[in-house]
Amino acid sequence: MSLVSLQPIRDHRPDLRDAANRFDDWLDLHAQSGFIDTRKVVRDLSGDLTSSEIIETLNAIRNLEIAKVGYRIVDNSGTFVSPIFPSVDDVPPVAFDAYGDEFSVERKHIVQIYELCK
Amino acid sequence: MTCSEEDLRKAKRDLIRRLQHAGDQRLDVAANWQKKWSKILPECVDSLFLIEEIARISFLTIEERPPATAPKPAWHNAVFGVGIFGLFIVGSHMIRLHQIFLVVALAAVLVANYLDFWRDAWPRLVVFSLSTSIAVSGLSPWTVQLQGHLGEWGSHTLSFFINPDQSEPFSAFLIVTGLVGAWCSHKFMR
Repeated sequence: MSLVSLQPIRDHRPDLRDAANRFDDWLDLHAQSGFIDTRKVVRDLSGDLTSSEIIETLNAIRNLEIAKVGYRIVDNSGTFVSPIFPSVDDVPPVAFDAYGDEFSVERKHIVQIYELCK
Repeated sequence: MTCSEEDLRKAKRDLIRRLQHAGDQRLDVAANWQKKWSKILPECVDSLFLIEEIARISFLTIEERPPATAPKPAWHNAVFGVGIFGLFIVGSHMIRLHQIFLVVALAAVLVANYLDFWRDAWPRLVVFSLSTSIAVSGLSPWTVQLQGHLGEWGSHTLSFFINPDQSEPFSAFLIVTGLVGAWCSHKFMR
């Protein structure tokens, strides 16, 4: 059982009820990280939900303050190597990978996440 | 300021259009799209970033449901439909082209219906049909010249669809108006 409830989405956006159920199942498996990694959620749910449903559900999660949007840096191996930044403008131009080597942060290194509110 | 779903839909349609011609430049096209629209819609930066992320990883689908919070009232469609129908009748009598109007409108409705019915875009369908009818009816003076080359049956059939008294300037006006209307319906009534 996920620690986060998506019930507010079902209450406020009945058209997203099915998508919220699917997100709930997904969160059961991934909530321990404390945030929703949009790369993972898109890869995992694209087969079941349309892109519009994914976008609208994540927007609802943000608008209903179930989670807040943030950005993190991943290195070339896909490992998170930074704290959460509140906006993409706050992401620094350089970062250090898991081995301590410096690299330039490009678009492919920036991941949008949804930090689940406690 | 909150990001409106309508603005996002507009931006997403633009991205889908760009991606159709992107080839192996898909990631760059998506990134440029995100930068451009982030300037236009600064309140939507997070959503635009998410859409770009989806475009990088998966496929964007074109299906879009109307916003649940603001359903289009049924009377709106009814009034619009009656208005267009009235315009259609009045217009066809004014320029005495009701026959060709009806036939071409029927053909256009069939084509547009095939394209749009499942996207719930019937207002566009009606405007597109009307515009196509106007444009094709503008061809009358030139179609008259074809009659001489057709047999008796062909000539008789053609005479049913054309107006031999229609002047060329007025026909040109009809063609331009019809084409502009069809283009507008395609561009603005999705």
